[in-house]
Amino acid sequence: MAYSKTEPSLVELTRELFGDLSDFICERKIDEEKVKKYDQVLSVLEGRKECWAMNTALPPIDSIKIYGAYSTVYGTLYGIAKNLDLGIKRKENPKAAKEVYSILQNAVDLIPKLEKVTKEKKAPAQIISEIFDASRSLRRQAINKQIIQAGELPDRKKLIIELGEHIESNLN
Amino acid sequence: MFSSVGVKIYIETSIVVSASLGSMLGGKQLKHERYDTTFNLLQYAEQYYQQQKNGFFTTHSVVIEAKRVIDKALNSLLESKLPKLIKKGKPERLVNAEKYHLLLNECTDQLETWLSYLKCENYDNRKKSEIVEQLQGEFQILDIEFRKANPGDINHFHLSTRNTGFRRVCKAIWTEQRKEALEEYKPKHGRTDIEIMAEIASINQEKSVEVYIASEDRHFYAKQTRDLLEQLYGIKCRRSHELLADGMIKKLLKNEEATPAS
Repeated sequence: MAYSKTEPSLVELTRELFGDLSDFICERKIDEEKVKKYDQVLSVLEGRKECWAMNTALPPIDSIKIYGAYSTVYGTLYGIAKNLDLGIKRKENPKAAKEVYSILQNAVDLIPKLEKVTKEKKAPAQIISEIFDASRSLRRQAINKQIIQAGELPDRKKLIIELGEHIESNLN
Repeated sequence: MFSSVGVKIYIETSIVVSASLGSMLGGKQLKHERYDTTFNLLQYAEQYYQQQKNGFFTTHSVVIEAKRVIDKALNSLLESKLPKLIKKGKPERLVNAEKYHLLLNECTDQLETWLSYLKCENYDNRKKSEIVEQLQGEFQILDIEFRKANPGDINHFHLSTRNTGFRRVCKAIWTEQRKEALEEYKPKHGRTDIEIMAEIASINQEKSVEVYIASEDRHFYAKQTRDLLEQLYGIKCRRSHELLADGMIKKLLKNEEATPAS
């Protein structure tokens, strides 16, 4: 295993979240205690993000893709928890839960694929590409539903200039 | 002789090559500032597409190729920066990863927008079958001429898809000045010999850059081998490039415009 054995399984944790969400809809009530479980999942995801940020185990572009997928799932779950909290405060039971149902399902589906990629085991390009596509689709969905904000890249121009300079220096 | 299927494959992929290397960049010598940053490449191609310039052939393959360029460029950028970034503190590392992730997403968004243009547009597809038909005749003449001019070499360098020996040699092409760019356009498996040589010729039409042919393991073949290939295929490929880039296609497109398809 790549991740700590003492750590609870992220796949199980997220499945539990999804089960809870179904309960909220069936029971027409969002349970505040169960929403607190998101904190634990988010802290595990934070660890995963840190693990894959600029990781050398995979080619850099692949590690960024895995990082990005975890980051997207993190942002999505964070936004879902916030929405559920807001739903409780506004007494929108279970409207808030219904609204995030499909997006949580997609996030939960992505987790098992992501967890299969470990530092020790090199993932085939096909799996990385599938993860990238799924995480981008999740990101678009989350932006559409205003669960996460569209990312701004303040120094995009600078990065492009750097990119150009790097290639130039390689050619010379 | 060419089979019609073989010719079709050749023409379509060659259009991609011509579009990527020639027409998309205005048919001029490749320029670093235009090509090397993927944003510029896409913007330039998109500008051509919006102006509906005939020289630019939009195909999904070009988009896929551009995606590879993006991945490649970002990867090499990351590779050079990675050791430095790993040493830096945790928060900084996360911030940088987020930045690259956003850049990658933004590149992909641009590609997807571009791809969506192509999906709803049949501007180029209308012309394809006619171009294939016309060029098929031209290539048959060319093939006969070539065989007459090189009678001794035909058995060894047969211009058909069966010539796997030659294909193995031409796995990658480079020039001294444009290693990065041309590495992206290395010939793929299953492509015919003439495609590969047309590609080399289209890159090196003015002979202004040195073209090297490398094997699969990326060892450069000796200059002698390159000269031999140039001698055998040079004329044919320069001709095919002319047909694709300057002569035949432009002429066909003009005719198409003059007499719109019913």
